[in-house]
Amino acid sequence: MTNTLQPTFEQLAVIMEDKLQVPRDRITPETALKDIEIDSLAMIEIMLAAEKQFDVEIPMEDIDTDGNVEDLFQIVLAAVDADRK
Amino acid sequence: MTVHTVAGSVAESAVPATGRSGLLAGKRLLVTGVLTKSSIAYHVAQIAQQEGAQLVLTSFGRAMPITEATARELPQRPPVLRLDVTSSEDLAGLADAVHGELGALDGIVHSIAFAPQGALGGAFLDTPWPDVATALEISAYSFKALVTACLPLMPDGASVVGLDFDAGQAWPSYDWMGVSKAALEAVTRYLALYLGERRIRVNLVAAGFLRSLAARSIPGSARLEEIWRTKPPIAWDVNDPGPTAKACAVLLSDWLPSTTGEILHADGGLHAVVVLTGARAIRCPSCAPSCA
Repeated sequence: MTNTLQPTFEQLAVIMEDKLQVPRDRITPETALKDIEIDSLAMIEIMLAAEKQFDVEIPMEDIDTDGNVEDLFQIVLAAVDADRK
Repeated sequence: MTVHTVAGSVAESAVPATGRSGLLAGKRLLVTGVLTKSSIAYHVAQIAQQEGAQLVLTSFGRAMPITEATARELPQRPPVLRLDVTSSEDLAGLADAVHGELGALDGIVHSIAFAPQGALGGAFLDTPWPDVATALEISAYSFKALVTACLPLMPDGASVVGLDFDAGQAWPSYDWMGVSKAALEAVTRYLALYLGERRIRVNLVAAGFLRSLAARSIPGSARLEEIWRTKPPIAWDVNDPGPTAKACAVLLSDWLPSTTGEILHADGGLHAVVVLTGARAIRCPSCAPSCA
């Protein structure tokens, strides 16, 4: 699969809002994942939804519940970039 | 499409079988713990199918749709049965459900563990009993519960394999999960004792640290990862579940018919050695000039 559209942070935030039932305004690039109570299962749910939306395979071994939302977004971008090569 | 494989993984090394040939030809297996493609259990399921086995997987709750999606990535898509190992209702219905899919069971893979966050990450001295009880029930007692639930379907000579993390010593941050793994090891020995009469073998594979999402959710897991990246006498790839999956496959096969109550380490040999800083650079006397 090859993507032509670049994912946006807003798209990822909407996925997270839906999966976590967390208000959108609490999801910023700096938000620590632990502060919105992401467990490993929730992380997988978010990444699977992102894979579907962005038509890309995201390597689960790169995902970590440490860090912040921007870290997660960068993993998505890296997966899309890798898919284009 | 990007295909994420890991060096030396079973995906690259095994030839697909159809059930008529291979190390596990004709075996009917139940595999728990498949969540994503980075799950150890996924790689066990993959190599089992490649070696000729028929599978059912189990999952439950929020994990169920994830397991079902991951099951579609296997060489043959196996059915996914609902099983919460803490539910007496699920356990009571398991044998019938498996019978409907496979008829009987020649092997079980137990890859189930959980500890609340308060039982991990250095809080050992303050962890309350309810958190400890949860860890012990899901990570150790469930092995006995799963095996006895499946026992009516298991012929003499069947094989049961559980996933372990060496509980012979205390690991930083692993805390009550380490205690739970010690309990799992004891449960294994007792299952071996009580099922030996039927020649049902019960063994564990103690894997080295692997970078699954669950493992990295353990606070302080970076220290464990660093130990495995630098200390085993045989280099250990924390991204490759292949060696662990192969060890499970061998135990599920007919090739270790007198092995039970055993812990097979697939850990680069770390459990067997004391390694000081830089010790991998120690050379054997007989080949010091060439061996590094």
